[in-house]
Amino acid sequence: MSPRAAAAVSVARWWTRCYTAGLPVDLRDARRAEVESDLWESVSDGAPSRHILARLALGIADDLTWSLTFMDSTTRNTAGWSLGSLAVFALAWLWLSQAPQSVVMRESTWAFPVALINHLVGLVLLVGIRLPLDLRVMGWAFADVPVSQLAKRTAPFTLVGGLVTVVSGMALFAADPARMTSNPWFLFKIAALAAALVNAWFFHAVLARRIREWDTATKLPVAVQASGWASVLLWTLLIVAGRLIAFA
Amino acid sequence: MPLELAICSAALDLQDRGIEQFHGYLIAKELTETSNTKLLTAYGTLYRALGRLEQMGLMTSAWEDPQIPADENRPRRRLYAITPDGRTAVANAARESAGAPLATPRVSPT
Repeated sequence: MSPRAAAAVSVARWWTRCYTAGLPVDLRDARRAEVESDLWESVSDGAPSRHILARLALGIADDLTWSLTFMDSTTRNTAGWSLGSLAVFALAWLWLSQAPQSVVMRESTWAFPVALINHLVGLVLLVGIRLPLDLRVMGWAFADVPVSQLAKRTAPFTLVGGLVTVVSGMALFAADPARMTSNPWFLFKIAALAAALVNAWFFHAVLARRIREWDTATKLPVAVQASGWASVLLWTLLIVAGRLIAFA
Repeated sequence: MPLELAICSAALDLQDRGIEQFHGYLIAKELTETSNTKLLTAYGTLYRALGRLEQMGLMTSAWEDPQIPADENRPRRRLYAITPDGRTAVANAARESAGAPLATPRVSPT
């Protein structure tokens, strides 16, 4: 198999694993085996890698709707919330890219500092309260506390923190949208935020489905630990990028 | 032609050539030959349609004996076959497109 074909097969396999992750075991295994067989036949038949990738890309909508049809109610709710969050994020991005300059934010003595303070407080709430969960997941602290307990207790604070951060961030952005969208550190910060949100979603919607298997364990599965590391890294990058916006 | 019907029709073509059972890739190739396109039906679209056909009773499927792929050193295939209802559906679609009455069971007047 050529390196390109091998890469295309790996991408198709990875995607199949993703969208079947929340399905009942028999259905999940059947679809994975069926796609695996198809990929093998494609490669044996000499199908070019671009055809494999095109077949994958053109079927994504069907994959997702099929998956939503068969997943259990808990996963469907999680997926619904995830897609809803994604839509909100996309709308927020659209708003950011089209937002007119706010006169209040530019000319009021207090508007900008108040928004800035709220942004920092929200970020401290969001990242600071999430940190114990990340440390537990990484296996660095709180080994005697079940992961589910930490996740459940920190969630309301991180959600409030996230909301305050986003709203105040949008207000700060409105002070000078043109300067922000051309600031590389702002773009980096938004990319880090998107990646951190995807990681949080992956933890709660995919990895946590098997939380009973490792909830009280001291050493957690590698994928779970990796998610904790990614969380700390991405939120740190976001904070650093946020500070550097003023210096670009 | 809806994909489900195209699959049934392609399955009949395969059957005419002596292939009673087929796997996903084979039917996807058959579909491209009949529709004269280069790209095979997307994975998600194809397997969703096959699943729907099975639910509707127009196709049946069974996993092949695990010994066969083990001997041939390849993944196991899920083999589909068209049912008599599937044949009827294709025949009905053909009649419908030709403007002839459909071959559906009639309820006799009481």
